[in-house]
Amino acid sequence: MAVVLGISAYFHDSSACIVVDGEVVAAVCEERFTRKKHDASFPENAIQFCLETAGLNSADLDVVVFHEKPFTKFERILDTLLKKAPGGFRPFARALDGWIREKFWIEDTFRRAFPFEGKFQYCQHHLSHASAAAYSSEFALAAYVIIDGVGEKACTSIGRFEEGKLIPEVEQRFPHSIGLLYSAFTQYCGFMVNSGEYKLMGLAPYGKPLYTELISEKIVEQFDDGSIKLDLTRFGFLDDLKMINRKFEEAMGRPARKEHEEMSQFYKDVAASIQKVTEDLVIGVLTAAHQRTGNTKLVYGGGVALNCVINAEILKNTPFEEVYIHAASGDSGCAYGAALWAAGIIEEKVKAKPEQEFIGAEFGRETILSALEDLKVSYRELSESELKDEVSDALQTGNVVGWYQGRMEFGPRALGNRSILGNPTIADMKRTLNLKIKKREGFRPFAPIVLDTHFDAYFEDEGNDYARMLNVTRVKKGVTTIPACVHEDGSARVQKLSRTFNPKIYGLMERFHEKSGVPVLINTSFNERGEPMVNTPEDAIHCFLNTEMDVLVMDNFVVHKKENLEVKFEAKTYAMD
Amino acid sequence: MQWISAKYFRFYRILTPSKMRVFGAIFIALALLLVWRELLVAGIVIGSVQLVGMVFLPILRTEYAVMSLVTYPIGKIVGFVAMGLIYFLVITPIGLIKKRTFDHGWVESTKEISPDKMHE
Amino acid sequence: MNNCTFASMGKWKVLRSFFRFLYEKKIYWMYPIIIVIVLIGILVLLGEGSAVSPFIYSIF
Repeated sequence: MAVVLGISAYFHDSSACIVVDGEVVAAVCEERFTRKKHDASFPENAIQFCLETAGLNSADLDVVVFHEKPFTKFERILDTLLKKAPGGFRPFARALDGWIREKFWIEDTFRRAFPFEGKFQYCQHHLSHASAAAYSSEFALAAYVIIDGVGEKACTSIGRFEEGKLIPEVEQRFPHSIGLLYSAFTQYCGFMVNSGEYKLMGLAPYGKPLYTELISEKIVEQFDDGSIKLDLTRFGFLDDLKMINRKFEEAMGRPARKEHEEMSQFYKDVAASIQKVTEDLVIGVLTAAHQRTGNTKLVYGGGVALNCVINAEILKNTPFEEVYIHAASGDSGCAYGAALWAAGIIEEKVKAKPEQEFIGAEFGRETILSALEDLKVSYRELSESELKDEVSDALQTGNVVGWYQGRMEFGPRALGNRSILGNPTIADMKRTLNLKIKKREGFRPFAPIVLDTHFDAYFEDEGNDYARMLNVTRVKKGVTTIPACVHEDGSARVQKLSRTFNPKIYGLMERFHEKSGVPVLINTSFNERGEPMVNTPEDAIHCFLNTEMDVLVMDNFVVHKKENLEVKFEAKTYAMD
Repeated sequence: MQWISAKYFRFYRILTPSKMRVFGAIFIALALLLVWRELLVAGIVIGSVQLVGMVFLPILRTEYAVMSLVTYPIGKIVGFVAMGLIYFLVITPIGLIKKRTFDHGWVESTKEISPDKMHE
Repeated sequence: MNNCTFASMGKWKVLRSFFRFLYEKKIYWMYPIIIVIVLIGILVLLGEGSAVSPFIYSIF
């Protein structure tokens, strides 16, 4: 028996994951504890949580594994700075400070915080991504492709997964990166790099891809072998703290949009164009991966794999016949992947289950009860059946419901345990949710969750895996009953729910279906703008009170806003994302 | 203002009790130096405050935090100048003689990744 | 001095393996850079959270 702890830190989305006997026991992002979105600090709370869940002390750990190779990354950074010297003093000063203060000393930091005599190991960044996806898939043989901003040196990696082992084949190195290209356009359109990429993707359907040729001509070139070349003179990330420079703006013909500037049609068209260009680049890489490995199954990961619009194009446009993508395919999944990789070296068999998503913190009835009592909130505890009735009624009349149950999901998507639910038949629901609850831009879409038995009546099945919101699909022609969760272009990032995946929300949706005739709800993550997904019952109650949410359900407790208008609480504000 | 008080409290709490006493001990050594240089009053006053501080740590913590706060900007400037010296006197000359272009295209990956190494 | 942050065994171990890395990979150009960075690093690390830091910067 071996106990392996994986950690990732110091980039963004620090996280920890514990694997006992080749099986994932717990994994969580540090941001959920510190309440700082994309927190990159040493994941002390997440590690503590993993150990507690496994019922172990740090001294019981056999191996601790970090998600990347620090020296290789440092070499790449220094090498880049040398090539751009003397022009890059600012990134140099910032980078060096971070490395001297913390990035080199992860082992030391860990051993100081947690008494531990065992081995401290280092995975490779892209291998962490690849392991997260490969071990969670049920494939015995597959090709793996990782596409992200940059790990140590690699930006795109191709390899094979054979009999539980990952074999790297080729990689494309920094700075020719598809992820960084997408981030550059994120910045160009006035969003924050590393968190605004979703917004750019959400914006794309509002525009037309008018600038794809311009981008392919002036900014990025792809060769027949799938490799790419960026015109480096137009990017700022090599010698500045920004992604793009003036020459980039010249190429696009207009200056970058400022953060709070009105969103014009031009930037919507740019968003649509870069979405299309990125899609073509990714398809090019995947096709090259198929040619190189000959496999028909694909495990795909890295930050770019969170682009659910591109994901939906893979089966249609490449020779691959099956694709597996992990729900935490971005950097938040690296601790999970690193732990599985290290376990895979020790153990005969590593048993990550493909539907193992609910591996975060759980708070029992007593904890929820005392949180409600502490904040002097008036509540009622119902039976399972009464609960379903009351909540479906509330949803039907247009109430917004905070749904807090069981163990938290790992990764960025809410899959039904920390969700805000709404009625998709009400046309105005998207606006209500965006402005009153999420307090964010009105254009951003919401995802539907649908009972698996009724999927085909509402959505086109393009053969993708719809269990974890990783693919968009088209809403069937003639479906007009769920306007609030259909995006501008008639697509939806649907979650197809099976009973075994999440029985509690399945039960609720069945009752809602009986009453309203609609087997669909809006499902969005339980948090407000700038806040990470709620973790503890206190976080949930706080978010409930701080927004215009109508009903909060935690375990079998129901809280109505109208009965709690007088509750005193300390209003928190979160940094805008 | 808020920034300064946040820094102050950070410095106030940053050291463990044993490290805090090392700081006190250094100060006592300085006090003895003053006594030896015949600055008796100053030496005795400083020395006795430190001795009390060794038992009642908040005194030492306050001293440490105030001193750190005063020397913090100096440290920042020294650090910045040092960074500049490295960058322009060491990095730049080496950078200018090395290859200055970035390669593109596929590169063979390392097949065996050793878990114990911090590189590869 | 064994109480100061930098002198802990963990950090020296990292430094030793870093030089092994440079030697193995034949990255000779990095030696001079690393040596100066280590010197600066000691200054930066001592500068925060150690008993001697206020005294160091008083000297300058």
